[in-house]
Amino acid sequence: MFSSAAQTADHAVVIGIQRYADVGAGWISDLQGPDNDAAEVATWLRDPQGGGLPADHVRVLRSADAPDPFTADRVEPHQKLVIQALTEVAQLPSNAYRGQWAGRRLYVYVSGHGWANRRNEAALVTAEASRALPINVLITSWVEWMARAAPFQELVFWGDTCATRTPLTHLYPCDLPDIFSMNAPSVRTFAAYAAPVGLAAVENQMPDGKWHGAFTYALLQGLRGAAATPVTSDSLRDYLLNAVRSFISDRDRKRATVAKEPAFGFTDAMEFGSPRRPEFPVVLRFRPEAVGHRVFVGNSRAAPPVAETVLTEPEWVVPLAAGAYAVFVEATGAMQEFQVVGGGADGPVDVP
Amino acid sequence: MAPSTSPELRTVRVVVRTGSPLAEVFLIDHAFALVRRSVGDLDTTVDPGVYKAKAKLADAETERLLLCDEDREIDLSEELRVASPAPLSGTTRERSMDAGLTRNLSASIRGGPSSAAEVLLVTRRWTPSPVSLDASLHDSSGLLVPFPTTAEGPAADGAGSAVDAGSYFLRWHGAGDVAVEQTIQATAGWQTQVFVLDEPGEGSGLGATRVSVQMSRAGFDPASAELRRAEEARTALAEERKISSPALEDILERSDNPMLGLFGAHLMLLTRETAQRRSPSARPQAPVRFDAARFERLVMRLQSVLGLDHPDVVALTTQLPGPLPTSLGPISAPPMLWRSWLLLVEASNDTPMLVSPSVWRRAVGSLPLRPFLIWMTDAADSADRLERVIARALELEGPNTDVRRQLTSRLLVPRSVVDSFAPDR
Repeated sequence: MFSSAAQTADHAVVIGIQRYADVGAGWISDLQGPDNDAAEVATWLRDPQGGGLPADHVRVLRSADAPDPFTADRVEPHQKLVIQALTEVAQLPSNAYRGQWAGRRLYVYVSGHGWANRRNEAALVTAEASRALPINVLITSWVEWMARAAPFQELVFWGDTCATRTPLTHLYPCDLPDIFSMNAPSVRTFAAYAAPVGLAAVENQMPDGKWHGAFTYALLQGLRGAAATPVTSDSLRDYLLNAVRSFISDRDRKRATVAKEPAFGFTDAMEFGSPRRPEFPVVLRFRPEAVGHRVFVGNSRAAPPVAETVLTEPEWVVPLAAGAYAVFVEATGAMQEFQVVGGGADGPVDVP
Repeated sequence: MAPSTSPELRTVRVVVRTGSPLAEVFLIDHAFALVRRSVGDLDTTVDPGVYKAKAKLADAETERLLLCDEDREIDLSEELRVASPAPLSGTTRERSMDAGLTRNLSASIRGGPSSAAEVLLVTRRWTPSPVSLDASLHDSSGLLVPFPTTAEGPAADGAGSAVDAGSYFLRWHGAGDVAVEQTIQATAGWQTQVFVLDEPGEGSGLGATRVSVQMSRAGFDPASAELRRAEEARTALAEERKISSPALEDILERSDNPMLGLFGAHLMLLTRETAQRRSPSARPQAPVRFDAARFERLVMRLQSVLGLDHPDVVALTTQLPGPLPTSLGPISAPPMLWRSWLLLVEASNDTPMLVSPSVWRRAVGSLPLRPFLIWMTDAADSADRLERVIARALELEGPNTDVRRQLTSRLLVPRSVVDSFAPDR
């Protein structure tokens, strides 16, 4: 059972690649969200009310830590750095946790440009990639290696990368010698991808004023309690499937090549904490004739209301947890369904 | 103790219509939990509440919030219009002039002997600015159907011809002006219709040029519901959706459309794979199933319509129970479909002659475009590199059967190629 106590046997690799050396060639662009996203995921991981990991168990590689502009000898995070970080956790002492594991749980988070050729695949393009040599790390092959070698009881992969397709020979998989541990069958995995294969993941300027990947922004909302609590594999998946679309810009929502909802690999049962469920202010706008009448928000007309009031003005701001609701005007019979995802993305609801 | 006075349990009926048996429907409750799912229409009962109905069909998806405090029925079919390279009625890339052109071209190559095969090639540009497509059809000896496109050409064009039955290669230029090819099979008595839709602009990449292949005995009918169904199945296969329901199996059993049969057979196999991998879950599962008897009947029918020498039919035949038919020969060209290629490479472990090194060399530059097997024409380097990897692996790990089998699946290389490097040969 998860508690908010320190998870001293958990480890994490967090990578955000925002700047690319070959942007001048026109085949790749710089991004605006990965530095923010990697920093905030790392913050959640280290937060005693979040992941609860010891600070030194969270290995972070970010473009923000590389020279800007790049110098000839430091175009980072590059492929070798990423592989080094993953190799470090793969080779932790194998009996550190309960005598037969290196750790309880491993989190792998990546944000940056990416590719995929099939379901449940994510390659992260590294900073030194060029059109002629599109260097990357096939991150999911490392997660798969971890699942077979089983240094950890639980594996969590969150990938905020595009899953656009690339010729097969361009992906660089894990090159550690294959190991199949007797513990492998009991390893639990939760894997979430910002985009199903073939589609692009997008970033956006979010209500907090900063740029984030839509997937990561939703992920952090979910982990902080917008997902039903305790936050589990199921509730986190449910929240992401319903919330990510709300964090995508109107323009990107219209693009056929953009993923409007994430994809999932294994979603074995695990918990990500029990934060108090936040409530988000929702503006409900009524017709003038509703003023003076009782209005209420709920899941059906007959069920006890979640919130109610007698309108004194045509606008009512009501705090609500993430979910789907209907608002009812008792006197007129008017009704409007709406959903709340939080994170500042919920616009006003016009009630007919 | 007093009797319970708990309120009467009441449920409401929710019906979500999609207009297609290949659509996926999800019903999500107020807490965002998935409570029901279906393929085709959804007809269910639930507790009263606020729900979200979400539906997906091919590349189209839509969702709607519903207060269900009494029985509700909604129709989402208008919001589920799919995009197709073929100018079919009711699709989002429909243009009446394209449909007319295609119908006329299709009819113009008809009238030959009923035993002849026909190929129709139509390219369309979905863009205000003219774009050169440069698509052409080849056989092993050279250009067969020249395709007249120029940078100033019309928005849709085409050509068609009666041909000998067999394998041909559609060559076109993808993103970055890379020349790519895919197999087109021509079958006696059938018109194979090849549609290429170019839709550049944002997001243009490897997948920007979309190709569809259909087959018809009666020319091109833009209003054909069966063609539209085949397009939905093609897209579902490209996305590897698990939608093989009894309703789809009914359609496959009733239809004589060979492309729908090929797409459908692979969709059935995808469902079989899912069933084999599925772990127990309390979450609602898609009501899909694999019916081995129906799959067998479908493949037998494809054998009789397309012939046992059709590469995709050979691939599907390897999935039937029992030994392979003795008449099953080596394929003379790569199959049309990517998943057929996977089946053939796997089956080559037990029957190495199925896929020759020369067929593999042709398709070795395969691209991650689905559902068709599409490859770069200039990929000799890839073949050389893979052969070096195989030779080195056999040298290091020994030429035993397990190593050979692993190499075929890991490198997607047929057994005949691996065996050619085994030291004991």
